Amino acid sequence: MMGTILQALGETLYMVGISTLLSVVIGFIPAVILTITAKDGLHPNKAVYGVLDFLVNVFRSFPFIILMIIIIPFTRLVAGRAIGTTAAIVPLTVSAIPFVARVMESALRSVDPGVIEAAKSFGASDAQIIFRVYMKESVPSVLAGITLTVINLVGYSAMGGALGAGGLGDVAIRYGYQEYRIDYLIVTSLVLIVFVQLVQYIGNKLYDFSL
Amino acid sequence: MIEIKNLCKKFGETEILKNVSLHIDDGEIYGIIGQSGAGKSTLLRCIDGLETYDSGSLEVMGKEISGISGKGLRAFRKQIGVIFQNFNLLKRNNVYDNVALPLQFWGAKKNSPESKKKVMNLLKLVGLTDKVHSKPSELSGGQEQRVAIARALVLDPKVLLCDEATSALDPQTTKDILSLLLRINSEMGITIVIVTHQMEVVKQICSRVAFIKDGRIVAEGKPEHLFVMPNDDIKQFLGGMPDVLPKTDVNIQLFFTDEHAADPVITRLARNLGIDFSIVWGKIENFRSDVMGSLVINIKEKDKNRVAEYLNQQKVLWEVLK
Repeated sequence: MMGTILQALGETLYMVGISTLLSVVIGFIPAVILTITAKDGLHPNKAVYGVLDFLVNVFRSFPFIILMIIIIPFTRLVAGRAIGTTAAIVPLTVSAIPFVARVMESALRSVDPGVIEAAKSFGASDAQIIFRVYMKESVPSVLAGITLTVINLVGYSAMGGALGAGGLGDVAIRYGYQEYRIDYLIVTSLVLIVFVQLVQYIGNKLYDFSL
Repeated sequence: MIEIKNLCKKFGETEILKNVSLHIDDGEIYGIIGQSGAGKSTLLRCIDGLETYDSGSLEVMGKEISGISGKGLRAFRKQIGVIFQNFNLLKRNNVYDNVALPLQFWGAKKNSPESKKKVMNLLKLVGLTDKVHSKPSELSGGQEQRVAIARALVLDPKVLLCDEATSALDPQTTKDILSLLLRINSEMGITIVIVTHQMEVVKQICSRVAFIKDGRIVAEGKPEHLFVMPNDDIKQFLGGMPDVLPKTDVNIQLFFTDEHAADPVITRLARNLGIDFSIVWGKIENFRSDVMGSLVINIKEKDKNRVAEYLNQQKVLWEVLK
């Protein structure tokens, strides 16, 4: 049993790790655009903000399990196949991008507007304000957002098991649920609990350190 | 240095600035005083191009602000330092990095020898050489504002704008910051424009002051004249005369400014005219280096003309209080 669970843990780490990385990198772009075009942003633009805001909401409204099925053609296009651990990274990333965009937007917008104004008053360009002020000042909230994203993705990845993604969720369903192996259910749950606690602990430490 | 003519500004339907005109000379410390919401901060933001205006003209160093944008505006702002009520330091940068940030905006490396020299010299000027590596959260309000002042000076500005810079500080710290500003003005020749609602600030360091009310400038001049002989708007702002003056006979307020501040006017008045009167109210205030005062005396109705004549003859400023 331990071997199966260890292998599944490895798969979960792989899926969550890669999809966190991708979704944070990709999700940051709409987050920055939302921040800039918001009412109190550097270049308020109702149209751009409105459209992007709408899209983010649309993608966030899909339950993960539905989204996963809907984007199967896209998954096949990107990963070459629709089933398996690597393929699961595609729907995980797609579902996390709007989440990351929202979390990062609120992190960036929490930067004191006075500090932005000060930067402007020294003649900073927009790019400098984004990279040297917004991003620098929002690091603690961004880290908190990434922690939240990782934990969210751990939960989603368990659902991925339903489409043969492997990982802890898959083990829990296959052995625990379908074969009535309560011990598998308990151990996978415990591993997930410990994992999430650990992620939150590290996230909190990084947050404190970055203040 | 700064020439403002008929400046108007609206936020939606509300007029924030109405026909504001003023002139600020090179090298002076100019105060803009008024209550919260009077439009003074908006005026200051217009000077730095952080806010646009609807009509009128605003020239800084001969350049019309509304005519510059993009790169030109950035280059313009480089010449104008600003400090704020809430200091607006980057929380995650230490003192050195905060001061060096504007240099980085203009392409300098923060640890280059020139940058280092510049930042350290300014930290010496503001008295914070021992806090180079501290984070803003480890500093007191006064220290934070000193860092902000060093940061505002790091690009060698010609003008320093202070937006309620001492409003969040206690009286002693306010005094210290003001004397630092005075030093910066006299040693570096930087023109300083101060927006404030604190009369103390204006009294202590401003050479001239504009009093702004509901978006309009209602008085302008030397602080000693404005505050010792206030017009009705300023009286209202200052809280007016205490309500302790006698209701009978005639109350006359005498103003002791400049050359008359030290003359023994009162005793001479009594002796020369051979009359009796009571002193019912008085105050003495410091303006930069000058002492100014005002006194209210209560005289008999029958003495009024003689007293008036005598005071005019002595060139003492006075008015009858009603």
